[in-house]
Amino acid sequence: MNEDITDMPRPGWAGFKAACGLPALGLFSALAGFGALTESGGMEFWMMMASVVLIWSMPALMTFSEVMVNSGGISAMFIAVAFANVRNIPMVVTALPMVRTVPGIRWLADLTLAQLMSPTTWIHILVTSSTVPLAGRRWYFTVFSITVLSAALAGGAAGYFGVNQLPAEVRPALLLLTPLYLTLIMLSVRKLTGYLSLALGAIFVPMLMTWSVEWGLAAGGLITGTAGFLLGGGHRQKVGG
Amino acid sequence: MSLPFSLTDPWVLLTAAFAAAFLTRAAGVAISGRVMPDTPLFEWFACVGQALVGGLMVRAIFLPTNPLAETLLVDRIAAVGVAFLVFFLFGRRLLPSTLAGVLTLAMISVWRSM
Repeated sequence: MNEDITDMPRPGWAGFKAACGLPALGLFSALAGFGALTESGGMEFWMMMASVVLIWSMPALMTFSEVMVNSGGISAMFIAVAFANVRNIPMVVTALPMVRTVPGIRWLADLTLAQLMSPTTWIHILVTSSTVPLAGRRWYFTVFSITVLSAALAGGAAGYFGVNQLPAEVRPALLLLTPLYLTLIMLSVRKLTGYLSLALGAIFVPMLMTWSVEWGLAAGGLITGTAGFLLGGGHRQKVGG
Repeated sequence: MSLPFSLTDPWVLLTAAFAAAFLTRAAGVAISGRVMPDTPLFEWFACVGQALVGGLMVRAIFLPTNPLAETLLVDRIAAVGVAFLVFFLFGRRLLPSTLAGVLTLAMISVWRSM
């Protein structure tokens, strides 16, 4: 569908409205679980809020929280978060060309949108880009991203402070929200290599982490991810296929 | 010479986590428009990320170090089972599936405390 820019005179407002439904609610809920999780793990409130803004990726945030809780060192943190966030690379690579009005990299603008990008934004870019005029697209998705980030921060704060207001029997259940949500997101990736890597990682990474949190995590991810990639035939995949 | 900060200080760890996360985004910007994302190398990276995060999530659900550990393992298995059931039976919708799992665990916990 090709629409002229006059079809959307206020792309920022349109981006805000688009975010104010399920996208914002989903991230509010997910981050409420994260807020509750970090509160129970003893993380400071402002560190939790800063981590949401700076890391802004649920898998990487959960990795950050888990490595922190398991007393991993700085190298374990860097390696684990880098690998947990590596899914952002193809996400950014595929999304940015869809908002560019001229070819080529504009570092500041591109890094800003890349930093704001979450899987929710990415999916929204892929699905709705064709309905947003190109000239206003970057602004539309920037506002969309800031709106869902704001909802996530509100959710994080609500989870952090609200968890103690809930009945004691219900409180632990909220801590299930984020890891369950992320596990289901990963199941949404319909690829054999992805399923195998997830299954092998789910079995062997926790086992290896009982041996060493730091090395078990990195080695477990590398070994089981590579095994899933090879068993699923990822190495036989043709480039671009 | 000792460092003026501890390498295990939470804010130092957050800085390391931010650097790692930002690096992946910057890498995405650097290669956007030049490299096709659907290559074996990208898929391998995604697989390692999937395995690592999957392992951490299983650990967070089944070997928790927070108050989730107060619930019985069998209850957590039931909650995850309900979430998976809703996910696969009702069009892989994330929000209803996740909420179904969480509500299941909450209801079982309330029932056990009665």
